[in-house]
Amino acid sequence: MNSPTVVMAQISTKVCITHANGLHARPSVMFTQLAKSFVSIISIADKAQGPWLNAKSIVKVMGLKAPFGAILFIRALGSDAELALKSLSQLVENDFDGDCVMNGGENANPA
Amino acid sequence: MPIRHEFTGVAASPGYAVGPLWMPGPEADEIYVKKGSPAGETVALLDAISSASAELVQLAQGSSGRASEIIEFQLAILTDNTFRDLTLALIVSGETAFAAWDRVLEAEIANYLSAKDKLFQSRAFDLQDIQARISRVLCNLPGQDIPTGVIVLADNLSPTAFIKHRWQGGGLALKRGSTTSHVAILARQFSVPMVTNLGELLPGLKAGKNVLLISNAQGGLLIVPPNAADLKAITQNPAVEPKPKPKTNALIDTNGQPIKLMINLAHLRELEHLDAKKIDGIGLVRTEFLFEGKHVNEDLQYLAYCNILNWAKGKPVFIRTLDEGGDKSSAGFASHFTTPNMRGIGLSLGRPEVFRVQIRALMRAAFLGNLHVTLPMVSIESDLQDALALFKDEAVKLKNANIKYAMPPIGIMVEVPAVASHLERFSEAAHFSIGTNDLIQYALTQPRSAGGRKLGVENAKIASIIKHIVSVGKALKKPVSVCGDAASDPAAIADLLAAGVRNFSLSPPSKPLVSMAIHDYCASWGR
Repeated sequence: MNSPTVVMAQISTKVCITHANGLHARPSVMFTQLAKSFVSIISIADKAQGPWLNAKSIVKVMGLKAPFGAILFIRALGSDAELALKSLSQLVENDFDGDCVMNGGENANPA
Repeated sequence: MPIRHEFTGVAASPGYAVGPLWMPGPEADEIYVKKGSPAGETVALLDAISSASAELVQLAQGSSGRASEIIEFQLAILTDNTFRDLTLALIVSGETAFAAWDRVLEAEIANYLSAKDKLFQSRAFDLQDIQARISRVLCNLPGQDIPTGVIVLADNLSPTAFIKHRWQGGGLALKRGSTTSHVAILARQFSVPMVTNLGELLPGLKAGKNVLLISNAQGGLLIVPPNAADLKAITQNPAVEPKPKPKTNALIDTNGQPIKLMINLAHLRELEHLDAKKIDGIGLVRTEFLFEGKHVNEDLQYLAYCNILNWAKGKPVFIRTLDEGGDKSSAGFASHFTTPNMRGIGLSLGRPEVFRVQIRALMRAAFLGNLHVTLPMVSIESDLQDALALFKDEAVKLKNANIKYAMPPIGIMVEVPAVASHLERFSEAAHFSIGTNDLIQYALTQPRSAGGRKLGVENAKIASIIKHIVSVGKALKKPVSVCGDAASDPAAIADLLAAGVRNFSLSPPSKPLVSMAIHDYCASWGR
């Protein structure tokens, strides 16, 4: 092989689900749609040790049945891994934006 | 003359409908033609997934809001490769596309049905919808169009079948089903009368028979065939008027005092389908759900209370502190507690390190909205006094730490008979919320979850206790509300109104039927 070997490190993060419904139907649709927009391999788990599931599959993501208050572990491997983790954890932290009818707004975040 | 049959079920969406009975066609599994080779079966599956997806895309084009969200969700599942790949693996090992798809989806449906969380359980219906759609396409069966104006009789109806049908008259009679399913939510939104849990009915009941479907405060009823008196009754009896649209703000008793309808909340997600404009507040927030997981912390509790206050937009929110222990099933933190005879406020006072966290979260949230606190299972005066002292103590700490907070009005649940009979001793409470479940249980010594004999507010002794609470509340100028199961039971409403109750806090799905029961009662005053 002539091409130089690029060693890419896998990076990971964790985020608390504060959406009232947990990672449910609509949130799962939004999460997987965003995950699919990255080329990185992205996986999620509800425990630090896994098992790790494909974050681009709604069947897997919703199948986690992660409730309100659960910690979601996300890891990514690829050229846009850093941006992927940042965007996905932001989506979770912002309660999947417009989806939540009682969206917290600026008052809802503890100082 | 034909024999008249009546079948009773559960009212899921109010109204009535007369029309011919219609039933969905035969099951698809009798018709599937084997393709003879794994390659043939693979092509059949891939074709079926792409035609089924196209059907959903077309259906989505004519829908909006909640309906289009449901379709978008199903489309995402259908185009996910997980089920496809599992099915293809089974096809390679010799199964037909039909059998393989069925097996893969069946396993996933069983997985969702066994979920602890009710909301995740209900997703099994969506998977069944997807499963059936592919099976039908594989069998070359056309989509079944429901004829206009019929009463649909089925085990259950899928959300997409409901959305596809342009409802103009007609109704929905389900043998099973649930009043909180996606279909029930859609039926109420589109004002389609719906009755669930009719059971197996008559084996000989045939399509085309003229039937009458009634869904009202008295329950759900299917009459086959209706006689002239039935048809006359529905047009004359105000209790079965179709599409009643009671406005909560129009509910006023004979003295001009408003009747308030608040809701009970057991989890934040229940707010998703509700409109704060249509209710008078949240009369009871059960906070047990915040203690289910490992992550019981002040900020998460605070965030949950803030979400509720934001949703309520200034309307009162009564939050009950943790009510676990005793004979109440306690999967949460109370199960670690070694004194099982303590419950509600007794348990919280016995575990101040946990109670203080909830107090701090409540007071921080009270700064932002119309928040009230209700203490559960208060049985002696010191329960209230000790709790008030803890609130004052935490207020000082928050102030010293320069954290914004407000002291909320603090009331009590009235659910212990000795408290009900000596209510004046609890005059420091800001309000009284009657918990009819425990009150009845302890006053008549009925075990919780009693089978067989069920006594309720129609019992004269219970009615008189409630009457007493209302009159003491009036004398002390403290608001009184009922938030037990009785407030959600249309059959108990007349007794509660007669006892002087004007504030009700009920389970959201029961609200249309309770409003109707209140309207009926108020109408009878006018006569």
